[in-house]
Amino acid sequence: MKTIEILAGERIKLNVNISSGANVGSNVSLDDKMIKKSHTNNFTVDLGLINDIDGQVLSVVSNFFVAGGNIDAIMETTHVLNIISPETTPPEIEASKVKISPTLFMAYVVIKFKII
Amino acid sequence: MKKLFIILAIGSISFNGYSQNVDLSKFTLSNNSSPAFVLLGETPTAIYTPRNFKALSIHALNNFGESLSVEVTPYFLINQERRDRTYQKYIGVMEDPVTKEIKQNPFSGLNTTNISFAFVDKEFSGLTSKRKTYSIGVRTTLLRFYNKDKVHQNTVGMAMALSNITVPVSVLEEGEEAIQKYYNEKQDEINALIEPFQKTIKPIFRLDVAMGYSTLFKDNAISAATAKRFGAWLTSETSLILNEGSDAKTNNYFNFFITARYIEDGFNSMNQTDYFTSYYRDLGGKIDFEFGRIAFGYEYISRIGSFSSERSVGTVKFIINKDISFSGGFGKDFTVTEDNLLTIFGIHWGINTGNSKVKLN
Repeated sequence: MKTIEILAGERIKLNVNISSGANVGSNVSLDDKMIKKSHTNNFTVDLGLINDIDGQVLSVVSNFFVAGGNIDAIMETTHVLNIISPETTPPEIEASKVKISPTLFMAYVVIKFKII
Repeated sequence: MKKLFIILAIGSISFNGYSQNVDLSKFTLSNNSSPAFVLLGETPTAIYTPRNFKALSIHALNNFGESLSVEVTPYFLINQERRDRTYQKYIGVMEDPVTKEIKQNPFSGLNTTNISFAFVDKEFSGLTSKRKTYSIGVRTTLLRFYNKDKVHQNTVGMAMALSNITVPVSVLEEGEEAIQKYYNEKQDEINALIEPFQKTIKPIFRLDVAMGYSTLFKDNAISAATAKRFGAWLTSETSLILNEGSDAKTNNYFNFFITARYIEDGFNSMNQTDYFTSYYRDLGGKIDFEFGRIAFGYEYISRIGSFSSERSVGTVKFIINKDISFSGGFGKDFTVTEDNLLTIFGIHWGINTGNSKVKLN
């Protein structure tokens, strides 16, 4: 799990950018409570002030469905970038991918927020 | 039941034996085999699909000299770091972000272009010993037209269903194996979510083209003279859903195919030293019906060339699951001799590579 340190008073936004030949649906949760569902390849979520989510864990899960075979090739060329603003280091966090079945794979990232 | 499996197994073995003799007419309608393998009369069970160019070159270096079969889809191999891929672009049906109108790109099937390469050392019909042979081929979909509203509706429905699959942080933190185990435990719930959107939606119309070129070394030496075999195929498919609006798990289809092909076959020899080339052009069609797991049809192909003939065959296919299917055919093949009765039986299976432990539908 990555920990991101952010200055007190900052407003945090998450941008999820997905590049894939597979059909995708994603969800964003804070401490396992879902705050956003999306069926698009590019979306942004306002997570609020760091003071309100200090110590909480953000998880982004994207599920991919491949109908016509080629799942390994499609998975290989799939990229899920999570960009947290205000800028942090590193600014872009690439999600890890896991093959689930011949038609389904998922990508995920887990981030903990800490106030400084 | 046990007897049935024994019969099926014997049928499969006899079919495999029969396939050692090259029969170019095996590139039947709706056959998705790669042209390079069709020209060699091979259906390799372990076709290598490279993940990147580096893996491809290592595989070729390690295997050249032995039998080698490779299939490449350039769309996935070139520019793997692209950051603007979407499913909508891949299938060619997308919503205009401004007007919200649903549009389609009839040339999106070019994304599925497949290049195949095969190198084998095998016996061919009429030749007494093995010959080293290589073959290259390309297959693509030139045109395809979907019911765009239906495809878009299904795409959005599936994406929304996928967005409902959540995974607790405690599982994500444990990594790949824990995640696969979690999906396995939740497979009934996941299947219930995605099943309504898993029906195959075929293009209403598609036009496929395939070409293959093969060379045989007559004396099994690189400096030896060669014989050549060339084939080009053009196939159109029109598909109509027969159970539109039903709650059935699969769409039932009526399919109508038209095909034209040209073949030059130089792998012929009467005395092991003098080779000759036969030419022919085929024109024909096929109708078939798909009812869930069962499909049956009839095809007729007329042949003009070095010899004129026709093929008239009824076919049956039974799909066990996504990876295994049985198929059979009965009728008259192209052969001009009296012995032209065609009876074929085959088992087709797919190979899913990589880590796949969850048995979702």
